[in-house]
Amino acid sequence: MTVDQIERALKNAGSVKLWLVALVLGAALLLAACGGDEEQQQQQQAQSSTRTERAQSDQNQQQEVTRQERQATIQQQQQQQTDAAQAQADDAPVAPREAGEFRIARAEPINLDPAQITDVNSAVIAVEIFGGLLVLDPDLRIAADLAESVPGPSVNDDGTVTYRFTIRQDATFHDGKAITAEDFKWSLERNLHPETLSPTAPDFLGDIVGAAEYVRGRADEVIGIQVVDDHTLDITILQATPVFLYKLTYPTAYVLDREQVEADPERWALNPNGSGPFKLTEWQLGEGLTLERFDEYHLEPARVAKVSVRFAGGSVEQFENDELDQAFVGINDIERVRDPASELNAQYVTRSELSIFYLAFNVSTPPFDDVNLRLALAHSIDKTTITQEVQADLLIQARQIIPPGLAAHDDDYPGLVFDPELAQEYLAASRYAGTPLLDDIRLTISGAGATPGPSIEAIQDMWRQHLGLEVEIQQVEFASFISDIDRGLYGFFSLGWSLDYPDPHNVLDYKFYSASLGNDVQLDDAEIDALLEQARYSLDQELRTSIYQQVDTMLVEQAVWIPLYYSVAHELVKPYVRDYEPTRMVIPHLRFVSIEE
Amino acid sequence: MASGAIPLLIRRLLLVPILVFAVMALTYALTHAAPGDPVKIIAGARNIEPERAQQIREEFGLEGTYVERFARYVWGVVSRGDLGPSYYYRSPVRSVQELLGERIWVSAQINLIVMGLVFGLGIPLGVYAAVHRGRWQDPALIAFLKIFDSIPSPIFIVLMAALMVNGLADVFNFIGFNVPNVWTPGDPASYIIPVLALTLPSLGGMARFVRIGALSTMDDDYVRTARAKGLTERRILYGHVLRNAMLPLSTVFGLSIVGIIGGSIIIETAYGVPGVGAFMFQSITQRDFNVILGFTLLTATLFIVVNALIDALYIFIDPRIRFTARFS
Repeated sequence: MTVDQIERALKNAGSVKLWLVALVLGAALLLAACGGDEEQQQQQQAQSSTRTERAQSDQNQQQEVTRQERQATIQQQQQQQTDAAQAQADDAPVAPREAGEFRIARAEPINLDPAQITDVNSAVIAVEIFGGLLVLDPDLRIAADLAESVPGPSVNDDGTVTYRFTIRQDATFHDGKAITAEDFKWSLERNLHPETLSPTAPDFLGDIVGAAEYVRGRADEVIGIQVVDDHTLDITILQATPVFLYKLTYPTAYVLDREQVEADPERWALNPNGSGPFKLTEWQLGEGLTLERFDEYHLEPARVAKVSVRFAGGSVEQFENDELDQAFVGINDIERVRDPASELNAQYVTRSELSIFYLAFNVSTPPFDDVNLRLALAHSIDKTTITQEVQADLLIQARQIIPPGLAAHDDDYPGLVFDPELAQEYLAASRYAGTPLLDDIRLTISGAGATPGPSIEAIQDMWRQHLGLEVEIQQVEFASFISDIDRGLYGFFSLGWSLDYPDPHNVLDYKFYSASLGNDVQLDDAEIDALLEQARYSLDQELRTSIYQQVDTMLVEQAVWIPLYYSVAHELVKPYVRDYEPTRMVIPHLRFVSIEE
Repeated sequence: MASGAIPLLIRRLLLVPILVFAVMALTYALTHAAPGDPVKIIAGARNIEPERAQQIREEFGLEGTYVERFARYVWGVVSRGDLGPSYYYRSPVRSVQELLGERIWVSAQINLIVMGLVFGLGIPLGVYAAVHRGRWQDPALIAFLKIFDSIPSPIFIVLMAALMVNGLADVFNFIGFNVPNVWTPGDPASYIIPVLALTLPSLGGMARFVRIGALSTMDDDYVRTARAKGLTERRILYGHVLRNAMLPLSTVFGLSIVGIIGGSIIIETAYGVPGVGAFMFQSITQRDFNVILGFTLLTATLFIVVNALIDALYIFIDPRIRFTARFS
């Protein structure tokens, strides 16, 4: 669920209701000229987001939006009808569930080669099929997967740090072949190899000694990855860093079957011989895929025999019609699902996610290089009204950057409070006050709808009302949007970020360190850089936590970002499904699910 | 007349490759000139090291001058019939043919049924309206059909879904169908909503088209002659009016054939149909250049060929038509 999604849903829900009233009045003929919704719909078409950045155009979201529109209408129809139709629908499931089958809807994966995955849709499937040395457990702690245990670091004389992994004796690929240390060395090197063209390996495996040279084709092997014997693997990194083990849980560090990949480098991922809890047994392009339990799985094998994944739908009405065992709840259904009297209420589960939506400034561009102007814009946003009134509490208001659930998140931190008078003072103190620059402040967002959506419009209204500033909202189509942010073309933009691993490093270091590729706000602050470096290499978790809190506070109080909301998963799960939980980020979790027949 | 038609047909067909090449060059230029970098889409917003981005661009054949890249593309199509790989679906590698094939087939199945219904129902309805000109049936029917094409399709599909899945569930259950909320692979009942959502809005247009054609021929001299000869109204209608009123329909029919391989973006997206319409829109937003180019090429070629054939066909149907002034 993202901000944009909600906004679109809201926007569309409103118009659907209007249409319905008009239709009931028999005014259909008069409506022909109003094609706005049609255009909007087309523009809302599919765009997959990345794992790291949900720049508000996910394919799922698109489906969700249209789904939500339909739901809105169907909901109304249902209210007008008796419950009989619904009860009747419940009695006649469209696709009866097989014993031990768990039926869900997800977007089609773009890639199943773990080295190529950057998007959430591919990742949610791949994490169930493949495995690596380490994995994040449901509480997001680092746990052993194909390794016997999580190793401790041993510091070498030259300052490098070695982790010795012992690979489980019972570790096998789906075809029964044993997994050895050699398989890991080959897989990691293959993912780093220039010809693999992995967008993520240089980053996630780049701490390993010799990886940078190998990525550039200047070495024949990654010397930091050494096979000691069949079941022992040494990985040496350049410098002690607490985030390296987190990075090893990312798909780009998964083990692959060398024989299979080499036999068919282009098409092997169609039927991958993985090592995860599920085997991919069927993949119908554009329609769906089937995951079957891997019985010899080295950890506890999955409790369901099979997971059927459809690439279309995922709506509450499908859930109610017994077409799915789990569904996502959008804004049109949230009220009815939250109603304690509703049958759905007992099946409703929710969990906050490690994702944040924010407004960002390019702090090197006038007028946004002026902290007073940024503070004025931040202090005039009433986030409470937006989350409660506009978003029906589907999202959590964000006062800082680090999302709840991480140790460095401080629930009591007030952030920049809504204070119109203070905002006006900052505006008056701005060195751009009274200059024409303030007349054309522009906020760029990803999108192509007729309107930017209620949340952004509400914010725009608040600026108008409290500061007298007329901020223009510029919508840019997704592909251009992310390219242009990269090129530093926007001074003020709206974006989202989902964490790749549960550590503040993944957002603060990646987004704000001056030399980071992700520093799209063009921040160059020596003090922040020094603090980020200290936290990056410190093994003292308490120290790191306090440093990240400090950096977070500095960023918020300089209004480099204006944090807006954290995302929350809202889902429905059938009562016969046990131990299904929404995840806070992409982790393997389907093997824990069981079905009570 | 046939002797004149065959060289004309050949001349028209000779134009086909030239037109196709022009379409290819234009589409190539437009897609590659669009802002937004496919490499950026691959990376998502996690920024790729510039060096790696460069390597990926080279792998995609996005390096070099525009002419070089276009020449490589054309050579691939001409020499190997290879429309190139998708930039977006990379592992497993998916060829444009693979990605489009199945989806075109899904859309085509729906379109064929829709076309059958639109022609099969639209023609009789149009004739019925024409025959009842001046009486209440004509405006009532036309106005009733107008309702369907006045509702914007996103709204229409919502209403259809609500009606089919809930309202009429008993009816459909009775005949052994349970219409799903969303397209379900392998379930024939999945076709009901998209087919109705595409057919109903087109019926009005077809009926009006046929009605006007029939009405205009009804006033023609030869119809009056036929009536004067004492032919029955039925024979006049079938033997004279309809035959002539059908001529413009052959153009509509030909162009509909081209439309068969296309899909409705809105209806496919709204109902989760794994068809080509929704997929093309997605490919455009993802800057999946080869997919965009491949589909455009396919559609354009079919369009150009069918148009050439229709032109030729006209001469066989109506000997009065000559293109010599334009094409000699």
